[in-house]
Parts: sequence; C-alpha cells; structure tokens
Amino acid sequence: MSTSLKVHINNSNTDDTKANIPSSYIEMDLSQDKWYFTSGSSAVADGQDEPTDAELNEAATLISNSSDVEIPKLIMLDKSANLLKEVYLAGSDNNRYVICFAFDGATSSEPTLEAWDDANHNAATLHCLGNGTVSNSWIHAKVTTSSAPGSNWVGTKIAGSNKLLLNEGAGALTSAKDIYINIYVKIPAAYSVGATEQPVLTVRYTYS
Amino acid sequence: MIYIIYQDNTTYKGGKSYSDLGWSKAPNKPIKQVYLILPDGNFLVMQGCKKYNCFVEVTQNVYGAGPRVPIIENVYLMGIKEGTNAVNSYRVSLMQYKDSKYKIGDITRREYPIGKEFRGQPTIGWKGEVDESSPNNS
Repeated sequence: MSTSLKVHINNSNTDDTKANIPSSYIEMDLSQDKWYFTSGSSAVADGQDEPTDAELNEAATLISNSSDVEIPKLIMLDKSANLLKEVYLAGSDNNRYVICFAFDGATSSEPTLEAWDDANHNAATLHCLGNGTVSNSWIHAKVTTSSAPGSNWVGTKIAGSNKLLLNEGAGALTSAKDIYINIYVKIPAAYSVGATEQPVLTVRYTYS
Repeated sequence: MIYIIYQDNTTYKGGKSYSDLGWSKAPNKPIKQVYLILPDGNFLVMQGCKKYNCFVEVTQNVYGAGPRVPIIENVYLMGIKEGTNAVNSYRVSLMQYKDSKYKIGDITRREYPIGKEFRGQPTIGWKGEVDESSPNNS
C-alpha cells in the first residue's frame, strides 16, 4: 500500500504538536513552496510577499571573522498565497515542534533526511555541505519527536552519506506517524567563500 | 506488479503499478517463487529462499532545486536463502538521473548482511515464514 509524506511547518512561537495546535501549522505545497535560510529584513519577513533576488541578497547573513554564525531565520514562501511564513522556532534553541514530517502509513525501512548538491542525489561538494567533507556540513538537523533537542544542540550535520535517521534509529515506521525535526545552518568563522547555494534536502523512504 | 506462487500452489497477484506493489497485503506463508514485472514487461523471478521482501524506494525533495514530487527511484526484490546469513538484493532502477550510470530497467544484484540490506539499515515486511518482522529479529 502506498505511503506518502506531507510536510508541515509551525508558524507560531508555541512549541506544541500539530495535533494540539493545528491552526499554527501550515502544510507545505511541496511542488512549489520554498524555504529561505536568511537573516531577514523588512522585506524578508513573516507576512511579506515573495522576495526578489535583490531583497534576498540584502537579507543575506554576513560571515564573521571571529566566530561561527548561525543563520538566524528559516522562512517559508507560501507560493499560492504569495506570503512569507516564518518558522519561528527553527534554530539551535531548545525547541521541539518545528517541522513535522507526516507519514500516512508504514515504511519498509527507516526514513532519512539527506542533503545533496542537486536533485541527482549523488554528490555533496557544495561549500554548505562541507566542501567535500560531509562531516563538515553547515546544515544541522535533529529529530525531536521523542524529546526536545536541548539548548545549543548540534544534531547531525547532514550531507551526502551523513543522513538523519527520522525514526531516531528505531527502524521502519510500522504505521502512520508524525515525525518532528528542528534544523539550522551555521557558517564557520572566517570562511573564505561567500556564496548563494541551493542544496537539495530530500526525504528518502520505502514502502511495499 | 508482483505475482507470488506459494508452496501450497496458491497464488497472489499484487497491484498494477510500482506505487501499489501490493506486497504488504500478500499472505505470509511459505513461498515457492516471486515474480516482479520489470519496466520492459519481462519478469524478474526469485526462488529457493526461505524469506522474501519487496518494496519501492521513494525520494521527496523538500528544499532546493529539482523535481518536488515523490519519485519512485528503485524497486527492490530481496531474498534470504536457507542456511545463509546474507540478503540477496535485486534493485531495479526506475529513474535515470543525469550522470548516473544506471538506466531505467537496469538490475543491480548485491549481497548484504542481514539487518543492513537497505542502505545499511534493516527492513521489515519479510514474507515466507510466519514471522513478518525484520530478518534480524527472527
């Protein structure tokens, strides 16, 4: 029987489940909605319309010479409504119910969240994916279904073969399940290359 | 897409597409042969195993460029022969990515330790014996 995935983002500051605060969650239209990891600005903020490239550039995060920099905001473009929706709880703070991967049935193996250079899913060489060393990826992700991540959590640096097991290592999903994750991007101090990169984040799952 | 002949000579026919294999609905009892229909209409036949598994692998891009629909990349037919601790895995490619060495319909046979049969992880849904859990747990 076919199993499918829906992705919901928590558009509130309330750290609670989709079941408890359904009106705070927005289902992504996976065919066209986008995420922006950004510092934000008056134009790149919750409630604004789709930003231009120039507006996104103005809201880009600056690399620090002295310390790692966490990109402070994750904002989703709700394309059909032409509105930006901030995922307020995303980041390295101790927030648990941020992004929900809702599987509507069982899987044959444990689903994973992966990061690749592009949709071919066969290389991870972008700067943000560790520039060839996947353990140096800037993308931190953690499953928070069973517990909060803790303050200043590190999680799994996802890139290529460094993947996030979405059932916390417990194996395949035996029935429908809501899986929660938190995610952020942290740029190493004094990194020598500034760039706009668009890695592909992919959920891989199986069913029979 | 699958056809099973059981040792008691009963049969089971699965769904009509790779998105609906029908494997999970198949009766779990000793199996004589499993047929998987290939993209070109031919069959991949597996026999002589004590347990079998069959499933599809899906990727769903959630961020970045590229297709943003669920894509069935591969279908797998696996078996464990009596007296062995290895999983025989046949992977049939259903998607051809740029720069990939695999074309649609290519079959890749590999052997894995039980419990690491899918990208280093165990799978569930095994049939052929009463216990349907992972071969690791049987």
